[in-house]
Amino acid sequence: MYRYNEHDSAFVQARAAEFRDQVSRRLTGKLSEDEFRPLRLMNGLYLQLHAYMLRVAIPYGVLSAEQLRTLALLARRYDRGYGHFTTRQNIQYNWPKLEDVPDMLDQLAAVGMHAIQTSGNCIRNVTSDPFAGVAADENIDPRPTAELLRQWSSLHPEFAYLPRKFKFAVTGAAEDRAAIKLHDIGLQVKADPQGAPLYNIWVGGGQGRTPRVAQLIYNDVQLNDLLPTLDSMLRVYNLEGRRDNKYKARIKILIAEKGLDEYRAAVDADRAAAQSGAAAEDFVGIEALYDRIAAQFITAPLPVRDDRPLPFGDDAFSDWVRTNIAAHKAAGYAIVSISLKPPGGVPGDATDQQMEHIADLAERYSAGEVRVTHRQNLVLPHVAIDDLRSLYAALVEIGFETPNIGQASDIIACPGLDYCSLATARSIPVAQVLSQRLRAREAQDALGPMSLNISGCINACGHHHVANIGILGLNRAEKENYQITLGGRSDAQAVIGDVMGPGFTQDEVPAAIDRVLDCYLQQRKAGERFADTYQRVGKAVFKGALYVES
Amino acid sequence: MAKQKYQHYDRVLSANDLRSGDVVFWGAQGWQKDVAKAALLQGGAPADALLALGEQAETDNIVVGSYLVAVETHAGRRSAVELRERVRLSGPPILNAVDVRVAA
Ligand code: SF4
Repeated sequence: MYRYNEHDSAFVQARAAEFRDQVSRRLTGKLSEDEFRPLRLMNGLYLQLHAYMLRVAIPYGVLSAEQLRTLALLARRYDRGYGHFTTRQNIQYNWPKLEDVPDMLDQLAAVGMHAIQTSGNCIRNVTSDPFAGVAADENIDPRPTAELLRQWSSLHPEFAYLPRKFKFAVTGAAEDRAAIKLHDIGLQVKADPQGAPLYNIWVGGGQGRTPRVAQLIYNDVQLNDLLPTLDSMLRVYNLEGRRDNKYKARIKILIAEKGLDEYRAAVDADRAAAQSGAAAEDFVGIEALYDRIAAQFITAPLPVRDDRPLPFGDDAFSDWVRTNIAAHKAAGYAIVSISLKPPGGVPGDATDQQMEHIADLAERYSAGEVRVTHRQNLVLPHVAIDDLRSLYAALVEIGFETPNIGQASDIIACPGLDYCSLATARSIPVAQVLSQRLRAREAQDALGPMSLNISGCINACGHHHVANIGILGLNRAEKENYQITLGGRSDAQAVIGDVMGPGFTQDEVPAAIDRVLDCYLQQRKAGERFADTYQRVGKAVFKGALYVES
Repeated sequence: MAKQKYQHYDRVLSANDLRSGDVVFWGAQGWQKDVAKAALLQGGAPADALLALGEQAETDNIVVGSYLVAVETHAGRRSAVELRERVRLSGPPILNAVDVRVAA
């Protein structure tokens, strides 16, 4: 894992101390709310529907056991005993008191964590493949690139006030588990014949009210060109992105209005100007920096083990192995996904005790490392296949043994109106009802891999646009109403789902989803997943099934 | 937030407590958490004085973001007219689920 150097540590500690002073001035009335609001947002502190909410950054979703234990401690000491893992691979605390937040930030700083750039119109936490560095299908480890981006974008003075927030995602694997095409900029890293990184850069993706799949703007960019290119891409956006209307301020709108070719020409012109000016020296030595960062991600070699088949049988443990285990690079090891989606549970929530247990399990079975996924689950990346059965038994004890990774009941749900002040409807109760129902159907009907995502408003933090089955909560005359989209996907074949038709009440949603699933089961051919069947059969058939009884 | 169209409803003054972030309501006992104890502005009555009181409490660094919430009373229980405010008044029902899980 990447470890902060003394400069990083000193910086986050100084920042926590600075915020302590700001909070103290707010509480004694020396700062008004108008003066304080931007300062608290710069430190990830929102005021939500019921209370303050602190969003803590988990860079590219990588956590040490020690860091997870600290997150558990914060949940117990300053919250109501739980935290919520988000689709940005971060964690949110829903109930901190303003006066406690400086202590929380101090404790985070002590383990190299913070809440900086988890809010505001800046470059947000860089996300990545939760299987980074260990996936069998990986071309090159994306973490050194993600860390390079973190260092480049942290407190970048020029990009502190962009027209709107800006999100990066990086993957280095054949399968896109980081949804890079749904980001402002997505990086696909490949290895050149010498093993050095080469980048395909995608731009202009995003969800929200105008969902867009990113377009490929540059191919095979070399490492020493990466940051100058990104710098110019951001600079053009910073100068030309719209600031008159926040709904049109994301880079996807600039690209749509300007056209990709014209945007690329502007970026190229900026790069040429930068290279001949004072900024030419800015990125000298990047390759050496990358190498230094990459060296930190070479974990102590795992004990060598014999390759062995995964233990499949017909018991509950085998069901879990089938769904929650992914292939590891190293012989004799497996990647274990821990589902935070028990039937009826709150997607992404974990209690302090559960977090502590997982930290213990990470130390015992996974070289002390944990990952957070954008699907709101946790991952133990280095588990010996021989240890799977005892790990499973330990997960049963904390209720995190649900065998549903990548299945319909592995629901993404944003906090929705239960917490979020921007929400138009609740997401969590819908997820709770559906997850119970879908778990039953998964076993009975062999539904196969699929995604079902729920957002509580058009901002789409719950990724409903790119789910095979997406649910968007709306407010119609002060009643919750849920609009369904079908056929979306967030992988390498990313596509925005089709909006069906009139929405459903909360009570009607489960039966509506059942009708969609029945249609899928009737239509699917052998070997097809939901997304394949939908693509082949088309919207009209599914729409007909969805509204047949309404 | 009580929009123009809700002015004919009864309304209460709400905000978040600056220190704790808790949802609070203005009433005879000051700012407190129980909507049942909130001072009621009759439907259609001028709201300026109550709003000014909220603004003063913000200036005095007691609360944040004060505004009027339209409410209805059924069988002696107050509930909000707007969806968002209904959830805000009742608190996230989800906490019960979490409490159950912690206990388990
Ligand atoms: S999608 Fe809307 S309701 Fe859900 S977390 Fe985002 S802003 Fe809040």
